[in-house]
Amino acid sequence: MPRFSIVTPVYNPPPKALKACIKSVIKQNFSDWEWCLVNDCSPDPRIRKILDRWASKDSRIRVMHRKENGGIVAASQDGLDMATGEFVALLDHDDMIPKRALKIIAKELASDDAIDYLYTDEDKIDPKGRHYDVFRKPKFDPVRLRSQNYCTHFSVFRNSLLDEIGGFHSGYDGAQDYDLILRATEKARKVAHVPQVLYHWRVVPGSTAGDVHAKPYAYDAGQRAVQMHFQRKQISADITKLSPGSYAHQFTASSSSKNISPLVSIVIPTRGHSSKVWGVEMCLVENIVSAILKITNYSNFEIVIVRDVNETGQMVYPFSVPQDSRISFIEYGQEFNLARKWNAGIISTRGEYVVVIDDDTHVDNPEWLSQIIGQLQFSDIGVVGPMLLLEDGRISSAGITMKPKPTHISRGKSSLADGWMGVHSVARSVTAISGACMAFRRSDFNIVGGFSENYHVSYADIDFCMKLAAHGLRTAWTPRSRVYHFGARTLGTTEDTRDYAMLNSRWGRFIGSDAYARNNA
Amino acid sequence: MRACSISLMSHAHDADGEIDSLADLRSASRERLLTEIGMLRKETKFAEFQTISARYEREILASRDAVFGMSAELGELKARLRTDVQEARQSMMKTPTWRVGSLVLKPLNLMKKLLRKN
Repeated sequence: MPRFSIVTPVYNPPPKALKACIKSVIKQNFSDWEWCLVNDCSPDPRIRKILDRWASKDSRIRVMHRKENGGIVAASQDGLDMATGEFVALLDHDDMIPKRALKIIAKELASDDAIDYLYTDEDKIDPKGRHYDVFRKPKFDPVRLRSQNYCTHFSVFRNSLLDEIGGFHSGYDGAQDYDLILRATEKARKVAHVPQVLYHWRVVPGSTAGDVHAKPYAYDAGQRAVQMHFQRKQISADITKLSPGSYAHQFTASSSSKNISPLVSIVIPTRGHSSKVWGVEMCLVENIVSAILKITNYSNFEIVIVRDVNETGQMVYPFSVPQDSRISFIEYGQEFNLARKWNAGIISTRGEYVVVIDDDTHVDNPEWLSQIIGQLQFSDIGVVGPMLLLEDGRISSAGITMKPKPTHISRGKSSLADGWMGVHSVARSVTAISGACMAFRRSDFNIVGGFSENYHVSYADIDFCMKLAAHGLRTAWTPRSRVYHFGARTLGTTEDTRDYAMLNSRWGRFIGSDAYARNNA
Repeated sequence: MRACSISLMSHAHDADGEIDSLADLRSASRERLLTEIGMLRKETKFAEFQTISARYEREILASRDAVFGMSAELGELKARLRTDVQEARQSMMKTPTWRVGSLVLKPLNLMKKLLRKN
């Protein structure tokens, strides 16, 4: 049994590109492979000749000529049926793999017997053979995979897993690999990512690599693939197409099928300050509480306001919020410590889910709460944050990266643009998110010991995300929920050297690199 | 006009209300006052219980955080130790002593390799 079976459906590629593809496989410095090429009735007679010639030259090359054209799904499935190798690698008929590709992948697979699916970085080659658009992908991110097939090339599956999930499914022409990857990763014991460019995607006229609008049917198929993924997960959401290749999932009201609208506790720590927002002087906490009560379309929530009081129990900066049975107050009379304030508020909550939100924020989107809570229906997600916006609508935070030091991703960039590979338009995993607004399960909060009160001003939010990660839960960020964050108005500065030293003593080894934010992704 | 009671008076600032008149209490019967006092005691006990419960809950959280923190610090120290050992090894290999030593031992190592092959 060979280590690898490379599966390639062939349909009328430019002969030159097909030859280059074949040569790239023949030249591999790893020999334990077979190649299952399925000619799907290519009208160009030269294709048959090229394939037969190479099959006669190298016994590892097996060619099947289909009697009638069946489309890419049927041809790919024929290739899978031919495959006898332990692992199956998908290679398109006009693409190339570098000489070392299979050897590096074999080494990675040998390092862990539990790896059932593996993908690598990729780039593109133009008609003149020049390489460009290097896509340095993040480590495996099922959250992002629900929105776009970022794994695509080079994908390697354990053959037994493909048998288990029933190979390619018909009806997904053009997005058959996306559907396969979604189903495979749902069952895979472990998914690995090789952070090296081991696939060159050729751009030819009419290919998806060169023009994302080239195959509109593929995007319909991709949408169906994502819909089916949500159905299998028993989470209902509306899947809509964004830019070609990207999909948005909007959790619907009935999406809480597992648990009908669980109670969400919104905790707002405040001192009661006023500030000028959009040219109007206003009490920040009064503004956010009114906005939440007025706009939120998620009905089952309570608000816990943690307010500062002096020695006599009087509010330091008095404010008043609308009379509402859903609002309660916790008095906080100690020295300022944001983590302690959060904890004090959260301890008094009754909800299954908790949202902490700063008082210097504003919500104007009815979905802001349902979309962050919706993500928590996935059991592997521990904490979720929205897209934070600056007062002028630009991005304040699209998550937090640890590279080169804890920094807000995309700060100052346009919130209207999709960003490289759609990073601003699709939900994805990040290393951490801002405590200006984050949602999590109350049970997970208890398990990891809440927010660490060792931090006085900042980084308790990052520490919380890191603790959840250590507990096996990922941090997700979603642009479907948007919250304005007017910055650190109440404190002036959020930097604290003592806090950074604490973060460094706990999680210093994670500072300086970030597997979810590699260069351009 | 709010009904005046001991309980309401004690929570006047919470309820954001005002006591308009104490006449209601002045003319209250002994039974009513005793009932009010009883209710107040119960509320106080419940409030005390809530305070104690919250304090314990915070202590549990702090303990759990300390466990997570220590585990993280241990991981951090191990990672730093690994880096330090690597750096020390690399700097040692750059020393003249190490270089001369490897040069001297080179023929011996070559012979060893040949013998093993044979």
